Amino acid sequence: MEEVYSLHIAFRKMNTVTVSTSSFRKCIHCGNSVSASLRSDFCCNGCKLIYELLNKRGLAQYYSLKAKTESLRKPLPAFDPISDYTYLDSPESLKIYSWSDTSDPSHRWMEFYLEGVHCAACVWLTEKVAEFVDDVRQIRLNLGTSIATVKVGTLGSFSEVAQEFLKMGYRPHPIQKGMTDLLQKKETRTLLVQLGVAGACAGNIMLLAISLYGGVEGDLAHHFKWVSFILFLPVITYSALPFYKSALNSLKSKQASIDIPIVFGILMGTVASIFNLAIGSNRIYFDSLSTLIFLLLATRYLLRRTQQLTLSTSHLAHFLVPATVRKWDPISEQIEDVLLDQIAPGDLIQVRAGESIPVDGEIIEGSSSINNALLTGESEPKIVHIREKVYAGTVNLYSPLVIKVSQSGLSTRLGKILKSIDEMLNRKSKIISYADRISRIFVLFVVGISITLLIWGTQGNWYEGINRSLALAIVTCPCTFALATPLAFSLSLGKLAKAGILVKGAETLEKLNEVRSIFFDKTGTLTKGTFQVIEWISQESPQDKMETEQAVYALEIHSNHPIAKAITDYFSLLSRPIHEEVVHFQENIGRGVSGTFRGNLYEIKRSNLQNSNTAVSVYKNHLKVGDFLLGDEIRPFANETIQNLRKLGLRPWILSGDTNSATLALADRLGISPMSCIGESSPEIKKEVLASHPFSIMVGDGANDAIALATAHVGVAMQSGIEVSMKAADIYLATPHISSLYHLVIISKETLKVVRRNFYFSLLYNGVAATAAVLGKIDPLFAALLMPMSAIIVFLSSISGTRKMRQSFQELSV
Amino acid sequence: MSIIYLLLPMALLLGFGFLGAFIWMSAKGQYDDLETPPYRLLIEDENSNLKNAINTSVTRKES
Repeated sequence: MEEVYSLHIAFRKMNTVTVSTSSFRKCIHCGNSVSASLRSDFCCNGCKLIYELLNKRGLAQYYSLKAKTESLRKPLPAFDPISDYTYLDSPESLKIYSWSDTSDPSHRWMEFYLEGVHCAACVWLTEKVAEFVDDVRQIRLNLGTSIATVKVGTLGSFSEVAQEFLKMGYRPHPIQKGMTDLLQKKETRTLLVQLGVAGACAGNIMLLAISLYGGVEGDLAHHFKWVSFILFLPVITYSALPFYKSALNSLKSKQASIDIPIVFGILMGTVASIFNLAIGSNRIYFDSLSTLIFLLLATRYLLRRTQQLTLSTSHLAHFLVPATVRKWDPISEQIEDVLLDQIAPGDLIQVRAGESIPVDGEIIEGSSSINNALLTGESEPKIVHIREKVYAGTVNLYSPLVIKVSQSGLSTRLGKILKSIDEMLNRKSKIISYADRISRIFVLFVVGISITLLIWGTQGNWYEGINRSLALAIVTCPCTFALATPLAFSLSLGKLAKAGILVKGAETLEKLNEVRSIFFDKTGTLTKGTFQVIEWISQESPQDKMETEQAVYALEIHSNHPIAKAITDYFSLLSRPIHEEVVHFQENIGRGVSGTFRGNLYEIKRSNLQNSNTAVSVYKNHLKVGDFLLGDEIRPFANETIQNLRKLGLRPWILSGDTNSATLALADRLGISPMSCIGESSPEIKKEVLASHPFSIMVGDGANDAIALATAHVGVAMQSGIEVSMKAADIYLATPHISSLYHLVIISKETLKVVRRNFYFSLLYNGVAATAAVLGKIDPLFAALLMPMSAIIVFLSSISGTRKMRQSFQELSV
Repeated sequence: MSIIYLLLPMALLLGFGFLGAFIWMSAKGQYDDLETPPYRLLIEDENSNLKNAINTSVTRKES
């Protein structure tokens, strides 16, 4: 019977003609492409719900605004609202997350990181939320950091605001008060002021210098020279501070840094200029030096701002378990809500269906199925009974459980993982950047200076000797190189962010050049991570089919099983589901559901696996009327991406928590050798594997990969549980396209190529200029011309990038 | 040309006045978010008084 059935299915598949529409559809709400088999205007139920909500509330202006504006980054499909934010209103939470201005105690503030905000329309929509919740005074969204600042009055509820954000399709993550790196903000502001001072002074000095080039003489020249010196003082004492600090730190720790030769060049130039000023000579370089400092600060500021576009993650709360738990008191036989902190080992708590388990413990009462995805990455639920262990962070799916607490808080398995991440991140050594490494060459030039000075000095012409060697010091300063490098990085980082690839910093791009292997997690990384309906084959007439579909939807909506979710998602986009009453609903854990709908008895049961896909059959009054084929789809282009990465010289591995057989099966489909396949890996094993393969990339998602992400040379988190992934990983992919990994690697290699190109040019320039200095040909006018010329050349070099880089960015923006 | 001894300090004073304003604005946080304000410009408030005034005056002209 089974063989006939599979043949039947195969025959049906063969005869299905793939209708390719003339243009692929785009979701009306988020703009992502819609799977052709769905024949819907939306990519997911979340987007559809939001579309309806916005229209109902008269907010359809969102779509016209969106059409008018440019997206800052790729939009994410909307989430289905399933979270509960009521904990935010409790006094304990308010202490952690919200604050008040001392001058204005009647108002409270809280900040949220919003996933998925990408354009002006999102700004408008987010800030409109203030109109839908009582007593919200102001909401302001920062599009660059995706942080929304909310101000409420005494009656305002932050949990309602959070719920509204969620309804609009932006999953909110509360940020602990005071953690938005106030220090960083202050430093950025200081840098901006230093930049402004340098710019103001440089401009004015330049005006005076032009007159000096023009040939002004006498008293006026003398006064102009002194005024330019006075204008130079703020620059050399205040604006140049960042360079002094960095150079001092590097000298103290005996490390190389590009700032050392820069500081030397600037100081020598200042000394030379002051010396010449005092003796009345024309060889003063205040204009060049101040402009140089201004430009150096400018590119550094730009890089700093670009790096802030990705979240600095220290302030995302670890919100993986609920804040309050239901404690069961066996003596009084009552349940009371208590804070998680107040639970001790040995206490009994109750966890209902759909809630996440807050502690490690043992089941005292009840049987259920648990979603262990957070710890193992696999979404197939596991059935548990009395006396079995359960862990914090997993989700109880089927029925209530009473659990005896064995560990809570940081001593749970999850808590240990989180602590481990922090440790790994602290230990992660910072690489010495390319710029700093080659600064040694420039230091060599400096040594050459001293020698020149000596030679001239011994020839008796001290004045000329000092001047020439000081001029040498100025021109051998690696300034143009130091200008162009931050620029190259910030351009790449910015464009990557726009494509949905959030990279934490310039050094991550450098690290990507050193990697030799790439480890992929299986579920959620190489595959989409959830059950999805691949095919729904009905054996009935269209009319009956529609009724069956409605019945199936009405039944499956009562179950928390991933298969039920997949089926309800599938139908919610196709037909218009009706919420009619289902009589005698019954669920068999992990096996299926049954119930009576409009007089007919429907049973939806799992049947045998069809070549590694899950099959579910629908029976109406004991007769089979249809089949679902479900599976965890491999992400599109995964195969191609892996082959491409191989061509780049990276060895691909699969590192999965799933069974060895499933892992090998996937490896086979993707062309990865079985020797590069490690299955049944717990988070701890993953960490060990990565520790034994330095110079690797780890690509993963969720908390079960988090330690691995933190251990790897470069950790890439796929679109998933944000809090832990963003903290542990160096790169966060806000796009579901796995092919962006390939482009990412190319872009980092090309960016380094640009930096190296700048370096060689810089060497050339310095060589030529050094010769001119030694020959005595550097006068202030010459220096003032030479510097901007070379600066422009390296700027252009950084901006144009390389051809491969432009190609990759082109492909990413499609 | 001695007028330059008056003009130059005045010009510098003006310039540094602006620098002072820049420093004050930066301290007040005006430059903390440079990405969002450009997007805010594109948002039209449908119920703004100005828009209503323009609309009513237009309809009045037409009638």
